[in-house]
Amino acid sequence: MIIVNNEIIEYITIAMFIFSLVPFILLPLKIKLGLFRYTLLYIFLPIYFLFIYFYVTTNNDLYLSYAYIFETIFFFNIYRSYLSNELFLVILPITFLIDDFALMISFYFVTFNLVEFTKKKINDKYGSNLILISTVFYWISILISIFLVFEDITYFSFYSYLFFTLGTIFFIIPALETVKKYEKK
Amino acid sequence: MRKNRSENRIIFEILQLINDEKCTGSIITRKVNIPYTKFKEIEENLLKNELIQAYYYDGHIYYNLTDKGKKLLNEYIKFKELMKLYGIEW
Repeated sequence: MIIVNNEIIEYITIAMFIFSLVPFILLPLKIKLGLFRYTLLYIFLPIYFLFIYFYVTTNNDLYLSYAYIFETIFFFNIYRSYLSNELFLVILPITFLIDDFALMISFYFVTFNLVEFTKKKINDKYGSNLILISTVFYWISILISIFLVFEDITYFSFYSYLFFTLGTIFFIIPALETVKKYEKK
Repeated sequence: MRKNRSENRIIFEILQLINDEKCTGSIITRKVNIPYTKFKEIEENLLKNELIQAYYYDGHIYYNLTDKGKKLLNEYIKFKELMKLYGIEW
């Protein structure tokens, strides 16, 4: 396994933090309606990267726990949008206590999101291909995390983080494409 | 099975319909699938907020979108397209 320098992760995290803020700045300039709804889609990503940055720079596990919680909430929010169901909201506070549980819940949400999105893509013929790729990357990222927790009791893995980062890039690109589209009009 | 629509969604369906074709109240209630009382309630709000305007023609009341209504509908279409990319129905 390649050993990755913490400094590299720091740089990636700073870049991703800035990148995940872009939709907040650009989208409201082009789309005035539904601000609250679409902001919710992106808001948990910069928070996640911020906590990862704190974790990498301080090595304090508490920050990693927060990062996992916001990761879970990010997937939960998309799950909620697909299903309009608040059932799992009651489970979320438990994830504050147990990281493994946050990962398992994230895995459930991301798997559900992947299945639901694929169904919509096939049956209703809508949804961006980039979001499908993004969800696959997220799914792989969580799977790697779970595998490493059970195999090696490692709570932070570069490979899982890398897939999450790739997933985030693909998740944000459609927002940028939308901005570009309305820029021309 | 059709999901329950939110009030906002019904309003935008009405605005979209008025924008697409010349319509009366009965056409709207039929195409948007809402009871007449609900339509009157929404119509009153839309007129009050100057999003639509009503005019008489050939014994019927027809509706038009105002500029403000067109702007709002345009914003809604943009928002809906963004949500569709994420596979979210709104």
